[in-house]
Amino acid sequence: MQKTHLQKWYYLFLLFLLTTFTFVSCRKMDRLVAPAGDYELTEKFLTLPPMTTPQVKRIAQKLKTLNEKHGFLTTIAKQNGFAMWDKPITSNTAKSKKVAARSATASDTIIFIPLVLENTQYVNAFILARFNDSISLKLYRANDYSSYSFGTLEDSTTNAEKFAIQFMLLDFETFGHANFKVLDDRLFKDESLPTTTHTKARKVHVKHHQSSNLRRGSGFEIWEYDVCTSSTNLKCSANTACCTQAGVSPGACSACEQVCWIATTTCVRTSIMVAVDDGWYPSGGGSTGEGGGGGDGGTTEPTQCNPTPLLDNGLPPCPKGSKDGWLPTLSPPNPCDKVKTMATDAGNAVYIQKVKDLATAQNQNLGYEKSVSLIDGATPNIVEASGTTASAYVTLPSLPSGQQYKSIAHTHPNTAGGTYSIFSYGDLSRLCELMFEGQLEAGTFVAFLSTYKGAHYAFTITDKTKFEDFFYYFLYSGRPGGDNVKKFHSLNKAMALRAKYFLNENALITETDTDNTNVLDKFLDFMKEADLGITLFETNTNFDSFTKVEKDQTGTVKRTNCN
Amino acid sequence: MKNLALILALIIATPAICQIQHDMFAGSWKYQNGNEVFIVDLWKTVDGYNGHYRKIMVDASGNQVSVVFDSNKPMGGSTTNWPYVISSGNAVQNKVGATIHDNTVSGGPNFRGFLEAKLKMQIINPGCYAPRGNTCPLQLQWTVTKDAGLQDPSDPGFSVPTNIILTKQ
Repeated sequence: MQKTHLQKWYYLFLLFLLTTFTFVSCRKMDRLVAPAGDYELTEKFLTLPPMTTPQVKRIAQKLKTLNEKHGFLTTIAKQNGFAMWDKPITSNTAKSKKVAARSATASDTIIFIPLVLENTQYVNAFILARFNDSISLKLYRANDYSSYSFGTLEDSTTNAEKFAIQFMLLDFETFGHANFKVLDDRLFKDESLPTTTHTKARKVHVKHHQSSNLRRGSGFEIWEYDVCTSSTNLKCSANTACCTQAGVSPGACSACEQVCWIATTTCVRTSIMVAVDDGWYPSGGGSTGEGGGGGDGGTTEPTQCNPTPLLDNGLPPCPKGSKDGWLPTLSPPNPCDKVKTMATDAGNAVYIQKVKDLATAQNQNLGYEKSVSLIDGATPNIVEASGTTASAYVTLPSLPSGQQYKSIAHTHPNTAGGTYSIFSYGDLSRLCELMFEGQLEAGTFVAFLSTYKGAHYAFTITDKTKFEDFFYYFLYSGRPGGDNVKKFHSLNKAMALRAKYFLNENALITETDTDNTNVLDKFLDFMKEADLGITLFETNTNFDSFTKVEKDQTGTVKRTNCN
Repeated sequence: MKNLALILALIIATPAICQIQHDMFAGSWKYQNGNEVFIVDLWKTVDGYNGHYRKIMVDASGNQVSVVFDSNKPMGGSTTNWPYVISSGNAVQNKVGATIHDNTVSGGPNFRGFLEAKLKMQIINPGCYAPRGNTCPLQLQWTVTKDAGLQDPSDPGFSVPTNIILTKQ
């Protein structure tokens, strides 16, 4: 009886606990602390890579301070992307007269920090930091272009086209994207044509101006570009039988392709990097009250926002548009072109001769490695290095700020204990680390290798993200930042492959293997299994003939002659 | 009922316990030099071995008085520890080729926080091994060498011993 009475109180107490728990759980509470996911987003946003300059660190610090007011970095990360802290673009008006930064005084330094959404490869927004006595921060979004008036690049005031070009130039400098497809018909219209003219394709091409041989990293900031707008328009007067109806499908009438469709290209030379910082902002899209939203499409909570691009009060600017006006054409560059350009460019002749010299028997018979590097921004720009009998491996130092490796060649000579007839795991990890530190430009970089065993190779980086992903553990395990789960996965995968191919007692690639064909075969398997994101080439002692070599779907070695 | 569950648990766990006991490499290994003791802990995985290392100071009685370094520590800028710093495939003829991440070194401001190197481990007296208890202490030749390939000249030297013989405990 006593037991039954106690049981009753016990169940009542349990019911009370359950009710309390349910009430507390379901109650809509003011968010006093950021959810764990938000905290991680903020941490990720503010994670700085090594070699970050003091000015960029100040930008990150100011954002961190501002974020403590309203937690706006979560919104910015979700809607606008993460900061590419390793890709800042500095425009110091005091340094070069060729930099035209509107409304900037001579003492101003302006730094652009591109923002990129996860799993994308183009600039979605950017932070503009202006340094004088203090730091002023503004945020611009690509989708806001439609809130500006449409016009031409020659207009004296800020318009949608200038806004778009700003982003295209950042894409060009950040990712190397040079070609863009215009998605909004209102952008980059040819003013010389009637407004009713039907256009089937409009593209923009960006390149450094021909005379601007000094680029970022060379010690100067030269911001001169040729911006060429191309459009293919219907010329209805040429062949009425075919073209009376605007909107005829391309290819529906062969005459249209050759007679009625006229391609025009207009190029403008611009030195204005800051096309949107003249203090005028289009209206609309929210206020300092409740507003904003958009972007990721999943935000239901109202977000406070600023009517201007200013970030200084800890609020994100209100979104003013949601439509993509243009997108980069992401056709990957042909890896063959990269390696051939490096080998045949007249400006690289002295370097390539030194690469050839490394392949001579004299150098290959040495008991230690030698290397030669081509470095952008350094004087002299060719640096040779050598290992020693006691320490055979050659060293590749990190470079001072403003310098980047364009190409590196080294040897695998007749070292004691054998030598790999192909790139070693350590070669790959060190080069990936330099890329991670911003010390080699993945888009154009070429690594050359000549070996004592008579094999000669080159590789280019085809997919920077894949290359970094494989070595994620190497880049982040000892440094602040990075995602722990990703580190574990990367570590497990890399250690398993490293053991299988390079370290096990029965490893597939060894320093003592003299069968170059077998080593190449297994290295290609490693590349495929690791999903390394690099392209391998066989070459000769003259480094003037290249054959792309890879494994096809069936595991057969496939060769493609680049010449 | 409780006894039955205990018996079942023991039946399930026994093969795993036996497997650990029957492995030549898995376990704790020590190397002592004066008051310094270098300890390596290896455990079996599906595809080979993982492990950690540490160095401690001991008194005359062999009791630990301090920790000099321990690889089982948080990863850079994190509160999460390294899952392992020694990793290898399976042994072949009493030898294992492994990777060691020497994470108890210090470097410059841009140092990645650890050294990645090759580790060779070889049982030098495999005749001592017996599945139900070794007939004499197993000894392990431990050799650490730089990874082949392009080097970072600012990398520090190893903190771990590079050529020693460890004894299984």
